[in-house]
Amino acid sequence: MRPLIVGLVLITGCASELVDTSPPGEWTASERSKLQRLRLPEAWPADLSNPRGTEDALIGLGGILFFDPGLSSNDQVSCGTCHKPEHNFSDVTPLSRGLGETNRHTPSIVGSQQGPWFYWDGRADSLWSQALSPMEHPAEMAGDRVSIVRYVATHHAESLERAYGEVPDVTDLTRFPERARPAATGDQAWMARAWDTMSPADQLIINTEFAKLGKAIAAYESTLMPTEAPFDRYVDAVLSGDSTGGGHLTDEQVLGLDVFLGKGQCTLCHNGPLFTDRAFHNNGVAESRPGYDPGRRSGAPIVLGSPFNCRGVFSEQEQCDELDYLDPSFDDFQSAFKTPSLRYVDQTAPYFHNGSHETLDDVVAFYDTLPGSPAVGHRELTLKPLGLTATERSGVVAFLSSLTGEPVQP
Amino acid sequence: MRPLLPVLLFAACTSGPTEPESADVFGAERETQSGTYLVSVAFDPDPPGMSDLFTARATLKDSAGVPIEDATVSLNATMPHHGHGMMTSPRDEPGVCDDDGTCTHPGGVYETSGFKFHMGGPWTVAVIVTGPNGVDDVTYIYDMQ
Repeated sequence: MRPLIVGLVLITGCASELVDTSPPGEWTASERSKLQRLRLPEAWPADLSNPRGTEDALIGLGGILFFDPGLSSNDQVSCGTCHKPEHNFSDVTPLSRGLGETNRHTPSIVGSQQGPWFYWDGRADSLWSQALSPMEHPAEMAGDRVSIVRYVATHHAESLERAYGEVPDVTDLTRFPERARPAATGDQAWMARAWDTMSPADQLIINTEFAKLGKAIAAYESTLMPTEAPFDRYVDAVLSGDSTGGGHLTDEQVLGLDVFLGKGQCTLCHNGPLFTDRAFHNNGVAESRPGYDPGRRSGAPIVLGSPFNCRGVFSEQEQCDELDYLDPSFDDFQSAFKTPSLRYVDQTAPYFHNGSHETLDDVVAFYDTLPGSPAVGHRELTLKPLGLTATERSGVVAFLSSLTGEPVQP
Repeated sequence: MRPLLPVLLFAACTSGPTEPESADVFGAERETQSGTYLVSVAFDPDPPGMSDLFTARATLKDSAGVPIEDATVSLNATMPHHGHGMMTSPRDEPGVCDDDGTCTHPGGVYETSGFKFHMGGPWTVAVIVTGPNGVDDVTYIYDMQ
């Protein structure tokens, strides 16, 4: 590798990544270390929020619930409606569509258990608590926890009992209204009023059972992990001394990897085996609807106040460091969104939190030129126009396709 | 291709008044800005993982090399040329405390939990000491990979 071009520091204003002009495919020790960190691990850390999440009975129940539209108020929408297996458990529409339309794109859930925060804005701190909200969101499944708990106890009694043993009887409509959930507003406010008629003890029964359903769904989702991709095999070959990378990447992809690690500065955020730092950034992508999306600015206080967070009575986790140390006032949370994984990224178009970019070419062009500016807050300051050549742009897109392994089976 | 940046280049990017580290080893013992104290810094775990919580630990001595156990030490980290700090609210650990609430830091070791580096690149780690010989500070640069 050639020495640093020191003058570039003055031009770029202290960019933290500098350009090296050596041929793509010849990797320094530092780059090889980085390649190692991007490779899939031998094993993934356990989901500490869901201690029974590896049990077959929970996984089995969770898989049933994930694809059951009966959990929705119109019997037509399931988790799988938006998290489509054929699209790597994401969706092809820019914005998620259930009973209505949400304001964000459906992210892939492959590998999603690996991280402290869930949703684009991190408003949940466990995969199981994340799984609860869509069931009640008016634009998604529009259900309510009382009828959902009753429905599962009725329609999936055997699987439920196998997972959790004895199931409480919630059929008494004088104690458990036909439909009820807390915090419902607008034309669903009547469900909140119904919830308020319930005794605290009965509310606790429902919330406990509801949380169990979330943990079953999370157990199933935790089985959806990325498989080895050409990139991983390339890294193995390089690290074992094969300078050709075993032929697992094309020359164009190697060029793209070179840009990804160097000139493109992509690993500042897309780092680790899932190519995400699991943090929140404002990349300045334009809003696709009137107004602005506060992103993590609104997500942080929500998770701190959630009864289903790590400190809640339904949590089985003793240590909640991520929640305890969270600073909701962090300035750069404004319109910041979680860095998505790039595994299978060529299967998950469209892109960004609002699905505003249709192709990977569009995404790379965006980071190359950085058009526009955020409606509020400011773009991550480390982002600068890259000045990529057409060959480099197409190389990065080609490289990204090397992150796709065998399809993840439902 | 991405070789490690020389420390001198980092210095141009930071706003702290102190000199950059003269050694390649992050956190090596150094004098504070006015030469009042000797400070070294370590992370646990080392190296910290990307976006993982970790503890920062400063060891404080007087200029003669004797540990100072009853000072107040504040540790923080920022990315000055990115314009932000950490996404967390780190907590200075109290040390060993008596029933009357008097706390000391045996061996001059002061811990701050809840550090998190959520981006790759150079982080400026600032240590501010309020001790028997007054207030002084020192900064270090850590290149998060």
